[in-house]
Amino acid sequence: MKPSPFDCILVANRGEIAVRVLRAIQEAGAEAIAVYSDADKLSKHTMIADRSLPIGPADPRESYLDIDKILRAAKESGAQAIHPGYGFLAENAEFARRCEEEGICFIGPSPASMDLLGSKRAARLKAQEKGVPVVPGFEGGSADEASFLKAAEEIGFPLLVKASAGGGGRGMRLIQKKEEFLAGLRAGKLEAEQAFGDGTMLLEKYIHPSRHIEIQVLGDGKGNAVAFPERECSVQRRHQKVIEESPSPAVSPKTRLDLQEAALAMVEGVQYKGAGTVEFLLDEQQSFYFLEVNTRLQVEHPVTEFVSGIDLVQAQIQIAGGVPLDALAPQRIIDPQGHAFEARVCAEDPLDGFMPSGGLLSICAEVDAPGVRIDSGVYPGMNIPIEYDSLLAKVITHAEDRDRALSRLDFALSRCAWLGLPTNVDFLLSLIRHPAFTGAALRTDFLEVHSELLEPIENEVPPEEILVAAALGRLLSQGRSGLGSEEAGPHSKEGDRNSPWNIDDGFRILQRGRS
Amino acid sequence: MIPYPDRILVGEEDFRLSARPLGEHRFQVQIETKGIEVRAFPMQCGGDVLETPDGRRIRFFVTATPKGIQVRIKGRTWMLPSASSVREREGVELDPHKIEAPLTGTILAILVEEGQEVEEGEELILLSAMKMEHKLRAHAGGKIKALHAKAGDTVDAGALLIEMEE
Repeated sequence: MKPSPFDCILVANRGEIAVRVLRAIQEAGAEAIAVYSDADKLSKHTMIADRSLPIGPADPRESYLDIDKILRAAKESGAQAIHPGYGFLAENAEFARRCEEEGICFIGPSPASMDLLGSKRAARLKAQEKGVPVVPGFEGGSADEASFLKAAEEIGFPLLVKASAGGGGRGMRLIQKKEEFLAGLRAGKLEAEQAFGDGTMLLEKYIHPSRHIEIQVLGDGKGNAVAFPERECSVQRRHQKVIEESPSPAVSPKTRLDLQEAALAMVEGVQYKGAGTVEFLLDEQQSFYFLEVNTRLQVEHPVTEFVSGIDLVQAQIQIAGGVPLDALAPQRIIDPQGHAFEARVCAEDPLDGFMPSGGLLSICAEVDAPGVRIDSGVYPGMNIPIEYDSLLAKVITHAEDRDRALSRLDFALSRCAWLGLPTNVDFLLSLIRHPAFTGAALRTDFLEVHSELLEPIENEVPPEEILVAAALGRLLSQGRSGLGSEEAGPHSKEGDRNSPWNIDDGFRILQRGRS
Repeated sequence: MIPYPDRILVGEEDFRLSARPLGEHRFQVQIETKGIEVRAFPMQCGGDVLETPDGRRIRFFVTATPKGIQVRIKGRTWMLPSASSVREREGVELDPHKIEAPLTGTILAILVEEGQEVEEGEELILLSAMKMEHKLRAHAGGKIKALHAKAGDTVDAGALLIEMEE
């Protein structure tokens, strides 16, 4: 790999993805610039960057989503390029346009291809034009309610009402029967108008049961693109993915090739530049239907990196600097090597409706083991802000087959600890040990079908060793702060209580480094 | 650092926990009236080690949280609530006619209007917090008396959003 085409790159994001991208920039030999809101002054990404610049209040609209402030930080730090991560401004064509105007390279697709592929409705029309199968439905547009109702009756029930500008399930409604249709359409439209300022709606047949399958692509902006092996992300809660894997246990080699060709058809014609993901639904007959294109790097990109051996963030940086695609990924179609899983560790309580929580992460022990990668945005003693996504870290494992990769995931999750606030780790372990999961009987409504995974065990009495450990807690924590071994390092010094050198015993763990 | 509570609840029972060092990695642990002598090895970073009487070594993690003591052993996390935090929570009567924000977040949509009659469980507000969407539902049936927020507002945890009347 050539060194970075840029001397200095700013990461317009926070959390684990900012850490991941900042480290990639440093590895490529460039200066890595972080930005942070008031809530993230001591967050991990600001600590590992070469320079960190404040961009305003905790409210993302006044910091991570504020285009002027991000561009000002880029100018001030001398950054020649901006990596947007995922979320926040990553799919904002206006931001990409403003970067262009200011002479700063946006690491991602052109504003024009974001406009074309980012809208669900436009992308659906494009898929039909390219002969890519789409879920039977109705593009709607400015049609009146009577036309929507007529189209709904033709599609048949149950069906989905979706917002064209939607994401994360907002504006989406599952309608079971005709009598509920108009109320559902109006509610979805109202929600879409309030959330996106755009009440354009469309209808889709409800494919059930189905699997969520997606194809990672990389384009060079000159019409060339490569397609990676599929990821399966069927297990979701409230439209947020929980576990991802690659390849999908349900996809045959022939279907894989068809999916990859369909994904390439979506991006090759539009001079797509950088990383993107084409999402599909797969039914029980191996028929697939195009859903949407995400014009950015995804949370679950590491499983693809494991099964392809290609560092997608480095590839994004190289492509943005004009390096030709064949220097990065020689084949147009990439086959999977082995099997990979990703589990998302979140500060949330699965037994309480996945209620997220912030607070002090007093213990953070992330294990090293063969075939295990942990992309973490936290360190022990870090205060987890409530204002943002509850994702703490991702545990990613790789092995020669699904069973081995899964037992590695089990081992890694069992040995790690993120404590001080509720997390979903025990839920993730029950989930991956469930016979339907080990048996690969995945579907997008997995957690509704297997709702026992979300029920607490009633009146379970903790074994004595738990009470012994609890009783020892105070004494051990006192001992920890006063042991004075070589591990104590800068922590043993008196000083500013807000300095990360003094607030926890984990900054050393962080420094020890996991790459 | 968050202080450890003196008493925790296990089911209905209230336990006092304490420990004192005996030297050479031996500790006297007291669980209410029961005394146990154990061997334990404090580790500097991540995970202490407990030795059972038959010589098995178990890695464990323990920390105090605002709600009690959290212990993680063998890939399982146990939350032992502090006796005082549970009592406090039980002491507060929830008013079913007040809808409050459970989290700091942004109001995506208000799905009802003042004067509207709603049923128990009906969706009232969509709140976006930590990138997730939360549906706030009516705790009881009744009429919407006053709306104290609108779409786009950022609200703090505990903020009163809707008042209802029977």
